[in-house]
Amino acid sequence: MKTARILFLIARTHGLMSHLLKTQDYTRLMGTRDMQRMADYLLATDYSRELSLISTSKVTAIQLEGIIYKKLSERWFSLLAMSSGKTRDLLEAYDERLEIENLKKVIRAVHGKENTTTELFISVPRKYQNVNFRALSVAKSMTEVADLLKETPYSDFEKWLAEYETHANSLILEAQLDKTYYTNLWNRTYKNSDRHKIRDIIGTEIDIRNLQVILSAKFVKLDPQLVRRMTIDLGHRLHRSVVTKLASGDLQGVTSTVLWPSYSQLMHSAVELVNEGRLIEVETLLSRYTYTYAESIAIKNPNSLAYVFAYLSLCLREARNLTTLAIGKQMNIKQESLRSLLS
Amino acid sequence: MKFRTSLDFVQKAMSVLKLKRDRLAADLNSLLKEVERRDVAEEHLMRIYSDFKSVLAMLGYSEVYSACHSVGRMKVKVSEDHVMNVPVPHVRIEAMPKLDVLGDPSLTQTGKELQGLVGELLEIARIEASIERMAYELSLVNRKINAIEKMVIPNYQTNIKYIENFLSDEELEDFTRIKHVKAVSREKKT
Repeated sequence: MKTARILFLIARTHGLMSHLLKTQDYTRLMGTRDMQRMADYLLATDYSRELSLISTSKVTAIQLEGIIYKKLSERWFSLLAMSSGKTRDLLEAYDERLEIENLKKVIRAVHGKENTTTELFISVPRKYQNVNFRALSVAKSMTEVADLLKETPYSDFEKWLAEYETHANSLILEAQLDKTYYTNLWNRTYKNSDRHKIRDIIGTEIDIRNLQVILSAKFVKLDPQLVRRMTIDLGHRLHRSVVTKLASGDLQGVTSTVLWPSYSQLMHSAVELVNEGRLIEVETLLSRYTYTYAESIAIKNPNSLAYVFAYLSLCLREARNLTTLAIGKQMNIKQESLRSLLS
Repeated sequence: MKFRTSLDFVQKAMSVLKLKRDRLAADLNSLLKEVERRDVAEEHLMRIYSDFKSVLAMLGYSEVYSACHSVGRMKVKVSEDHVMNVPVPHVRIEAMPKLDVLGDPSLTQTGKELQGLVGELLEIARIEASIERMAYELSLVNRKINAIEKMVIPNYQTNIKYIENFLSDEELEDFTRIKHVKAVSREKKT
């Protein structure tokens, strides 16, 4: 039996779901002549408030990307504000992803000995921030970053510094943040009555992320032991032993190792694309699978809390697709190529 | 005598300059053939740029910009070599960005392709800069040779001729005077 608060949250999400852009919106956006026309079209959507503050005739893809991700943050955190109890805990854990993305940007800048550009951060409301971004943005070394992350949910970060220094690869630290994030999120789903459906969404995300990490690592020829450590130890349909086997095997072996029917089919297509060198399409293929799966969960479970998580996932898809369209318009990418890049 | 020595020196200098001109022209010719590589490189660059546009559109500007922060900067040392006393640039890549930290395979692939091309682009830039400097030097040498051939040497030759004529006139005058003196003194004796 769901509480009134949860039912309200689900009902509200149904309303919010109708605000997301539809297929016909994307078709129209793809058909617009330039950035200005695209921005004009978006004035009639949820993005109108931010867009009305700037002149659409002078809007750039970078500005639009900022607006898109600000809206994503607003959407995610507005649901969090409406929730309470264990649901709130779960949503809080889910929304930490934006903070993780910002932390990754700090790590990359520190690794490359560059200044952190705070303009690139996705806005996270102050009250939901677990870390001090102002201090992190001026950190000069990874040890300093680790010190600033003590007493935060990412305190494990320090343990990975030795390995980071051995391999001199910031991907290790990024993977560790992802691991911390997904483990925390996964553990919080235990307390929820709709956990099976929610886990279906989050678990699929984890599986696909693991597959993506393995395919990327095979491409850049990373040490298999390192790849194993970069994958998340939580297997949903992709058992841990399969992930370990995939990490140490070769690219062609991926198709015979992954046995879950839909993943197996996905991997066949992905390996084929990797062999043809069409790596961009591999990424689109994998992310498209994740979002389509979330969409199907939403359709099948309209009265479950999983609907809320499917909505969050679809918000992210919209943000990514709109960013693709905005940059595509600015860069004059052909409509057909743009279509193939959308998730 | 001084003018003749100078003329000899100028003529020798001119032959040295002619040697320099021939060498520069030969070097220039061989470099000009290499410039043809530019078209291929530009075509390759446009292909990479087209791929990069897709990667950028897919990942987003902030993600790509941030990923690029992690790879470190490319370090290049530019020094000068001398060909026939013409300073030509010499470019040496000291450090390349480490692309294995990018994570995203399509971005890594595009980065690797671009990295492979950067060496070639720098080499073409070096060749073009060398051609520019050598061509400038060649035009200077040509002007010097022309000036020596058309102005300096004829001037010297005219001056020498003038001096020679002057000296022979003086010699003739002296001879006539001596002859006259001798004739006068002979008349006085008789």
